[in-house]
Amino acid sequence: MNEAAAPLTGHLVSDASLDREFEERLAAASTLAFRVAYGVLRQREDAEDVAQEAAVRAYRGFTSLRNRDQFRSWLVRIAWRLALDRRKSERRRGVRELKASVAPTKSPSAEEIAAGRQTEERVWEAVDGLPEKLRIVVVLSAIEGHGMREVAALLGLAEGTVKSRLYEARRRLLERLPCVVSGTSRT
Amino acid sequence: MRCERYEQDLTVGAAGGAIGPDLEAHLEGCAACRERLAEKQALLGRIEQVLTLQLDVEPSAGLRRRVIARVVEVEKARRRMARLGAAAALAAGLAMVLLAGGLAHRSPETSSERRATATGPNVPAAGAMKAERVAPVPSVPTAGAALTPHVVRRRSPPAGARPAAAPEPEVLVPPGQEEALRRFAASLREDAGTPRPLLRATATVESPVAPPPLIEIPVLASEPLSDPADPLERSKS
Repeated sequence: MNEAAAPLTGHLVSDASLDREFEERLAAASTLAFRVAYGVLRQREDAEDVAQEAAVRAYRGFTSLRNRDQFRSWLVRIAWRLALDRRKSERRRGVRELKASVAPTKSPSAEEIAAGRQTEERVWEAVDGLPEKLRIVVVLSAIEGHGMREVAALLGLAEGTVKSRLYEARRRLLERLPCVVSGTSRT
Repeated sequence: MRCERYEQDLTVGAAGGAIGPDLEAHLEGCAACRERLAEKQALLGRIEQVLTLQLDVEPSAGLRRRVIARVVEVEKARRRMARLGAAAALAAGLAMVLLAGGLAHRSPETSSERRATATGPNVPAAGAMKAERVAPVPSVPTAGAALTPHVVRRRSPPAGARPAAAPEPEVLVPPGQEEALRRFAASLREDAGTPRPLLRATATVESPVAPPPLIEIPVLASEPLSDPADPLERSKS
């Protein structure tokens, strides 16, 4: 993969200031796009591919974006959609990848260590079973400590809508995972 | 002992939903249900903790640079394809124009297929005459002659002659104009740079054809053949 990338400015769009603005906004949102994609795919390479594709699509439509302050939420939605499409495509092809998940960056506490691999798999399985509009609320809420307001801004929804969807998602998760305790599961 | 009938209400409460007065009253008197509610809340917390931990992941080093590189690569390829597409469209348009021009010089063959081939010593070499100089001969109809044009086809070039670069067009020649065409073809062979008008074989650019003389129409003396006022004439008709 080409690591030595020249800046966009002056290379593509005739308006250099537009290129510069796109780079700046992308720099602030690319990690979030990656994490959103990872929340669906749970594979680093796949999530990075999706993040790249999302950036390409965002660049194409950047000049027609009415409010460029919405770039972050727009990129998140693009990445989410691309990740879902990729997952559906993999399922249609019958691809069942059981790669190891990425190790978290923070040092887990004893309680977090106790939540073992099996618990993680069961949790993600339950999350994947949620309807799409509930699933994205759960994923965004778990990323970067986003509160209701941030999630609502990213999705372009009212806070009340986000709150009700989050409640519904939690209720369904509790019904699906009645007894997940300390790394082991008992039903 | 759990109170099964409150299980769903406990789930709602743990998820952040409203706890009804019935459940509230029950919780005051049922330690098991209070414990169950706490378990569900802890479970939800653990679920969200797992998700937060799993999603607190950094992309690999250099992702931003790779993303920019990918954008540049895709956009350059897209613009390259756009330029190729424009060139292909232009070429296709020119081809259509040339084809339409070629078709405009063709005509369907008649059933009699009268063909006048340019033969004899005046026939130019295939490579000497350019297709575009063989223009349709202007129509100078002779008295009594049919105006149905016929097709003039040149014979195949003699052996050893240079092959024509392009297919030779068919030339429409009004009847009686074959000789004019031969003279015209001969003039082209003699002077390929300056096509000569076809009205007269001896005409040149320097000595244009003189305008034809005016035809004088004599004034006829008009005399009535009969006098309509003459009663004798009226009686005859």
